[in-house]
Amino acid sequence: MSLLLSEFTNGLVLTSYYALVACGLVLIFGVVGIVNFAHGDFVMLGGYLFYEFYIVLGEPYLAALVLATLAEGALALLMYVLVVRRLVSREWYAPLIGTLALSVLLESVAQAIWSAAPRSVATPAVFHVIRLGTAGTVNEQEIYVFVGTALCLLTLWAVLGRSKWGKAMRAVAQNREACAVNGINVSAVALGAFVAAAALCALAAALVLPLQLISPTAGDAITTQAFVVVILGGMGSIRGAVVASFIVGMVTALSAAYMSSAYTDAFGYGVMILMLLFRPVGLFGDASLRGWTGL
Amino acid sequence: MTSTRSLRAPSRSRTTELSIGTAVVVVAVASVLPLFVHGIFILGVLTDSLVYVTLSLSYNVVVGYVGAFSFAQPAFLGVGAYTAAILCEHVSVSIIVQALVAVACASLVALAIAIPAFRLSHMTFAMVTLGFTLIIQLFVTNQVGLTGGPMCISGLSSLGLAAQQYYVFLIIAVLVGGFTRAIASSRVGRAYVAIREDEAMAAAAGINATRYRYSAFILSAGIAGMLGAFYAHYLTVVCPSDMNEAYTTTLLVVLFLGGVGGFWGIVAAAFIFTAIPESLVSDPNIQLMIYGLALLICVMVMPTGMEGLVKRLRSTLRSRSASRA
Amino acid sequence: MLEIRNISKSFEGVRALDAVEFSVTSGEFVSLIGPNGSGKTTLFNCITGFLSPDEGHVLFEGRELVGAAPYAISQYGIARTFQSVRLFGKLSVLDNLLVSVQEHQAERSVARVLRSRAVRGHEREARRRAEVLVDRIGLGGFLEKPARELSYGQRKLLSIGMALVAQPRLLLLDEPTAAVNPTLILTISDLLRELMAQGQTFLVVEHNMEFVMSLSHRVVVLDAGRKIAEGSPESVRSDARVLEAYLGG
Repeated sequence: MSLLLSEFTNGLVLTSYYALVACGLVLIFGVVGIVNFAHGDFVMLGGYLFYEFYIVLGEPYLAALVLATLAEGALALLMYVLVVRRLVSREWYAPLIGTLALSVLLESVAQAIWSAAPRSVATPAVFHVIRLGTAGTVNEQEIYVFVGTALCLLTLWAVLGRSKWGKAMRAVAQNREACAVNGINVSAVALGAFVAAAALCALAAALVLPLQLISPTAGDAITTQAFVVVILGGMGSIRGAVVASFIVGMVTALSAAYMSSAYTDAFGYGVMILMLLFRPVGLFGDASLRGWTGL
Repeated sequence: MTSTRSLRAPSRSRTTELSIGTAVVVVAVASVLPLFVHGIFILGVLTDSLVYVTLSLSYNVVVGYVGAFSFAQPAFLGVGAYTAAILCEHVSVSIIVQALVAVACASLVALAIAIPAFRLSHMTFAMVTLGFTLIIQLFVTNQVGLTGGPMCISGLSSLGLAAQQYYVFLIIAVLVGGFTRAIASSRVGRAYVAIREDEAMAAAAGINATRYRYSAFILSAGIAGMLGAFYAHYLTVVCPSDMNEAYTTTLLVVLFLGGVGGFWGIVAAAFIFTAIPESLVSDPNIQLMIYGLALLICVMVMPTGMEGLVKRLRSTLRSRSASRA
Repeated sequence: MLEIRNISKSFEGVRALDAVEFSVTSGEFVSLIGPNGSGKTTLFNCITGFLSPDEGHVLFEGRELVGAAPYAISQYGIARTFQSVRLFGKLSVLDNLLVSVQEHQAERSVARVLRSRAVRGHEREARRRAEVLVDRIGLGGFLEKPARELSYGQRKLLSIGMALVAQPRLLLLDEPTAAVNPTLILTISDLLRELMAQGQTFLVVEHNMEFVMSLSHRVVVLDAGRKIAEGSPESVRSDARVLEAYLGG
């Protein structure tokens, strides 16, 4: 019984992790209009920024989380203005290979600064174990993950559905040209979405990485998982990303318990490949962010 | 991104003649090089370059001709290498037979990948090729009984002395180079340009884009597989790390620095990137940083690469001399 | 030759085509006219496989076209032009034509690349056909020029040439005289007349009434996705419903 609970908890943690990251990816894909191979590295970067604020500078947890998110947002702004902006609406390879190059660059710079050895960003909350009767245990950090993710997703839902900026983002995701003609500053909206997505990555890192370790190359695995989730859920759909995060998160957690861990990764790719074979548009395949607010 | 010149109809244009002339000169020089170069180390570096040239040219078929971003090229090389190695462990066949089997295996894998990969768009193509590459790596690393897993397969017969190995790979490079060049300047090459430029119009003209994409991808894989078989005997050891998808980055740098879809630029870039790195920068991480930066700059600023720059220079010089005349 | 039976197509609730039905017999020049937005290009897209109709059939010489891919339909012998002139800017004029020709010459792939004797023979034939056509459409001096350097009128001619060079049994032209100067309109009319005399079958979308009236054997009129009239140019010209469609709007 306790085994099942721990699987379930792990699954929920993964769900939350993937949900935040994948939603960011969907935002970038829909609003900025590019595929972001460096997405996982944004998480990695967020993790190291959190490390600097929390461990090195000794800030309290919440402050470190907020600071890391802000710092990442600032870096994302810089990246957008210097690089990403020039990759949008160009030949097919520009966003794909441009963001791949960015990913390589981020990883090697991170390794140069923080070395390749994995580090821990554990918080005391990781060790506050809460007993749930006979069912098993859960730790305080995991609770933070669930609460934090829920808050973020609700905020995202509210922003996309109600705010002026959110509506602009949805409009751009649906039809860029029409927006430009109608006086929406597409570039500014895209910048906002990009920064927001990076912020989501940083949040995900600050919430989940205390439960794990960070290393410069950790980004690749997250990127791949995020893409698996987004392809499963449907490329433009936030709702799809959340649902697919749950599926992928749970399946990964369960299979890790019952199968050799080497093959659990392959599972995710297998699911993605099957999805593309039989239903390429994904579960909620939609070319816009409309799907979310209809929830 | 690509120039009209390198993908034209088979007409007797000056550019074609110039290209054939260059080819003859380059091959001639390359053939007699071992006579003048002494030292197994330098020959080794040159041989490595030839391997890279061949692999880059095969990758160019996917990235340059079809216009798709694949992570799987190192995997196809690895499939070819492992096929040859495993074959050697069980039967005694000539290297040519091993190469043929390797081509067949790599092609079959490519077909399996192509079916889901070409489904939606460039992004899903990249992800599927990445997914398959990772699956293949996992398979190879874990099926220890078949592949020796992380312990590699060793003890393969060598191709011969340093000079002999050089010539083997020179012949392969020339054949592959000639073949890919022939494709580019044939009607098939024209069809690829058409597909990349306006797929709807290409379809209206009767071009079956899917079939062209599949065949280019499978061809590219087959070449890499063949190369892999010989590569296995060059290294005499085959390890899972040989098919690391990270090699894709280096290949991309070579292609984009050289000029995607071109030819001589890629050949030159492949040589530069094998000959220079180890001598200049010892830290592999710094190397990677330089590659990342180089690739980023190429994509943003210089997408036609060296070959494009040379062409622009030539046409500027030509128009300048014409206006003077 | 071409039978359009009960074709309907909707986009998000808007009925772009509503039970359209007519045919084109071999050797005929049929014009498809109607106010903007009446569904003419949508119909073209349904015929040539770029869109799937919700209902109905398109039969070409007895063969069902609905569900076939555009490249296959092209190879059955139907060629088309697009409203926005589409061609391959990076390729030369000659290469643009060769692309169309050569896709209609069946060859084995490897042979194509290795250029066996048979293939080289086909290539010579293809070049000959392309060169003859290039002269015919009046672009003879521009063989090697990259297509993107041509003027609008020249591009229009080239796109018609690309459709012609494949020797299609049915030629679909989408607004061949749109935004074209009067001299060029005459050139195009003469070209089409020559082809008609040789028995070429046409289905042409057009707005230029003079052009339509002078060349067509029959005219089909669409309005808001429905066929409202069909017949000889004279009968259509004086048809009250047609006048209302254009004037009422």
